[in-house]
Amino acid sequence: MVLVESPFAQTTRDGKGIRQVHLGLTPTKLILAADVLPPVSMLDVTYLPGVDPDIETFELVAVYPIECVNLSVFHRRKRQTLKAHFCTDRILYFELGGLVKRNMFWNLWCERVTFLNPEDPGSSRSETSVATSTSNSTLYLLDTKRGVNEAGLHQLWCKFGYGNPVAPKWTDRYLYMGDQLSEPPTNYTPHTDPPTTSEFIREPSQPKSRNRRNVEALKQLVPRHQIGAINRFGSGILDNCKSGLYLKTESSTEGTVSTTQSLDNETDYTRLAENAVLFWESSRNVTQVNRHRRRYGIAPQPHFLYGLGPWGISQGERFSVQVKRAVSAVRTRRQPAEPELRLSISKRQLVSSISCEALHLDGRVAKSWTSLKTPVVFFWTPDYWYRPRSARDAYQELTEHLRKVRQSCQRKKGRRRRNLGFKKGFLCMERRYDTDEDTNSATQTSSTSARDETSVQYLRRLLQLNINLTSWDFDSTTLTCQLTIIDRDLFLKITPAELSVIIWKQTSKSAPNIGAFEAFSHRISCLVATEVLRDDTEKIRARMISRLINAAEKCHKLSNFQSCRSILCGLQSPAVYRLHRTWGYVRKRHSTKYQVFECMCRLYRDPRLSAYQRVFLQKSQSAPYIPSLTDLLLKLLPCHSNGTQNQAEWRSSSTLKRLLSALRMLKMTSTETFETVQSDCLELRDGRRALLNQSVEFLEKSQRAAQKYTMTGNELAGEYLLKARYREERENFLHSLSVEKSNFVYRRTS
Amino acid sequence: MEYDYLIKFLALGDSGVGKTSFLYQYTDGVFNARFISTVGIDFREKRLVHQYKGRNHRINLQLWDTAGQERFRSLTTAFYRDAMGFLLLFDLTNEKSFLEIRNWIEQLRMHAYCETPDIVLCGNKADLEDRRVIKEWRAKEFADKLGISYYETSAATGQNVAIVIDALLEKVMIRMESAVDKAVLPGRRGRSRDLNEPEEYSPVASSSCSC
Repeated sequence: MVLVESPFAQTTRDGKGIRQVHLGLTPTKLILAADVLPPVSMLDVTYLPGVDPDIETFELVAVYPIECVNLSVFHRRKRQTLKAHFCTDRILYFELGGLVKRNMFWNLWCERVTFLNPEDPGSSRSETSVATSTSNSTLYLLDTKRGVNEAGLHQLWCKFGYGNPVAPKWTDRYLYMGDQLSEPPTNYTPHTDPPTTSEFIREPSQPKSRNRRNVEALKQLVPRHQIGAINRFGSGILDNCKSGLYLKTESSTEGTVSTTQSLDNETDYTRLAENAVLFWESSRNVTQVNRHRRRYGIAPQPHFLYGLGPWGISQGERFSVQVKRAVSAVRTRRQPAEPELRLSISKRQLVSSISCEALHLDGRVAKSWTSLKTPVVFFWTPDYWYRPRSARDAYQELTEHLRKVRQSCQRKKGRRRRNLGFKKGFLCMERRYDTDEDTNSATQTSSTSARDETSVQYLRRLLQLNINLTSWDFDSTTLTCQLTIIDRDLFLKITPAELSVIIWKQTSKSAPNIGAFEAFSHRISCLVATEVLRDDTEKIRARMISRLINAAEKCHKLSNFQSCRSILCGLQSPAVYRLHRTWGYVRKRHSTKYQVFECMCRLYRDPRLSAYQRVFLQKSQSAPYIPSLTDLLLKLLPCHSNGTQNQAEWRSSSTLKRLLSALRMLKMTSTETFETVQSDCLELRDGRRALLNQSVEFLEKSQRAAQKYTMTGNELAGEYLLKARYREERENFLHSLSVEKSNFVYRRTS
Repeated sequence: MEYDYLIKFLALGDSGVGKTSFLYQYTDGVFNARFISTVGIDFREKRLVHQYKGRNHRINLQLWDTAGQERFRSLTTAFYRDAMGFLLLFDLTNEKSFLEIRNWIEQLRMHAYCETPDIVLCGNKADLEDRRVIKEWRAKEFADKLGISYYETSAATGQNVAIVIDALLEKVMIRMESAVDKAVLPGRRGRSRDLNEPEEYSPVASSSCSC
């Protein structure tokens, strides 16, 4: 059975071709064959019966038992090279050839090489540094000894062993000093050549060879002693100005001299200008080194959700964000930073009391309000901004607040009346009034703060972190399971009523359970970013990243779209995105993980894209799955292409009605019927009710599916996920700046 | 399945001139604008019936597609001596690939079965008329000087692709015809040959290659 076979070019480590071979892989053997072509003078061109011309010259070169060769993927993966390390310590490199479906074959080879590897390279810790999987055995020839035994028989003793033989490592691959190098040098006196001072003085660095010709031209044209730098803008442009308008110079020791001085005749001037432009253009090309663009790797505000997220933005901006394809800047409404300007009770709470909300609820929706009774999931957020409160508590808070307002108003009124009566004692009254007010406000704040303290204290007690845990303490499977359990609990708490709240109010502020789901997702993504940024070396950071990618992949495999997205958002957050060197390391050393990451990023970019929908549909065929919150909420966005159509329908129907009523053919033109018609039309125009029904159906279906997750959680992992301290996005970004310095260091030209 | 002749052609030229596309267009009639550089050597086949001197010959054509990249140079030169005809391609929109032709011919002379092998020069990418750098007369003059035929081809549109192969086939057939008696290349199968006679090769080869 041949697992896979392909043409390969045997190359050196540097990629220079040696010969053309054909490799085949079976479960036990690695087969190497090649075309051995006779010279053309000895060649026969006529048909030889029974021999396929395709394989006429094709000859078997070698069959290696798989135990004797360690097959792996060469770490420079772009080259698609297999590295075969034989037990005789010979290393061959094979670059995949062929034209048709080369990438497919490459993936197949990688897969088969993985297949030969018995241990699952699932966790990133077990992954080797080159992020490859290797075939199973490595019987290395460690030592050979030749001897003659008593009987006079010549014997060859071979010593085989596992692991790398203690072969000397060469730093210079072109220098081989014999296999006896490891012996200590006894009578060896090193020849020393002390450096001269001239070696330390380096010529100023030459520009890239591509420019050299132009530079030469410039040099010939312009007398060196007169001009050091050609600067069309005086000294007003930064040295690494991106527009490319700044001309690089050979050496700027002579300083800038205005160009007009040096030029005598006009012909030189035009030629100089032409050369300068050429030089400028070529230097621009040089600066554009082929950087790896990772546009897919950034997700700045993943929980904005087209204005449906917890942010408050103005109605118009929200509409334009939802309708437009290209999103412009929006202003989010925030609470003022100063604590004294903040309201003691939130505006939302003031505006909508519980009773009022209950009045507007549908009968059908109201029933399911109380259907689910599971304990609230508490988790830590900075300053405990996520503080779930029961409706009764909120109502009590509100009534107390209103009572206080009423009291203070009455007191104020009464005082004012008294002020009018006692004009003489104005001064002292005022003082008294002042003190009164002070104490009043003091009591008020103290009372509110006391109540806040209690709830915060309660949370603080609940979310006390007993042991210091990091994500290194758990493997990705444990984390994935626990994350799935938490997300399942949070997801099952979402009620259809909240969807209706969102669809009418267009914000998830008033939907507590969706808010909790969102807040937890935000927490996880921030936690992910914090964990990545915790370590100082890029190696460890890269390892962390690859482990988190692993966790995300496992979530995805469990059809847990929500957790997967949360982790990905953390990895795509600006703070982690900007670690270019770390990502470069991941790409190079953990490249299988990086490929997975890239693939998932593209998949999760927008759940409305067909790729995501296809995967989701596939995964939702079998029972346990959790859809991502984005998917759920974006289903609530009004579909505008349908909207216009419906609008046109509505318009035509209303004109017809108006026409009929004008002709007095429509008998029942009483106001109420007209009202109902109007409201029906309004609903029809929005299509909101249909959307709501659809998404409620979707929600119920997926909740039923999510209930089927049965897995045993890890208590410590749960504790870690719920209680571990993390930094918010902004702090993470600032920390990231200190972890990996920015490349863009602007210097002033002197 | 049966055939009369097995003939091997080799495509040469700088990286990116369109060797693979050219052969792909010829064998499959398909063009793919994406650039996938060839690694090592790629073998492809086509069977055809060629009319030569009023007789039909069934021919199995083996087309060897080589990598143009410098790093595979030593790998591909090993195949030169086994090919009977050479397709030498350059890119009409790329001056450097045209200038490199001289080097390619030198390489061929060094490694091929004789000093003057059968070569057809192709200026590829003729469909990109607006980006053309090499004028037709210039390439033609150059080809005349070397005594090889020149065609302007396009792998994208299929212009002249089959004609070039036919022309090369014609040349190789003529050479084979003349070589049959003189016991030089490319000979027929089953013919007795004295392998121990090294002198046989070069003098006759030079005389036969004067065509």
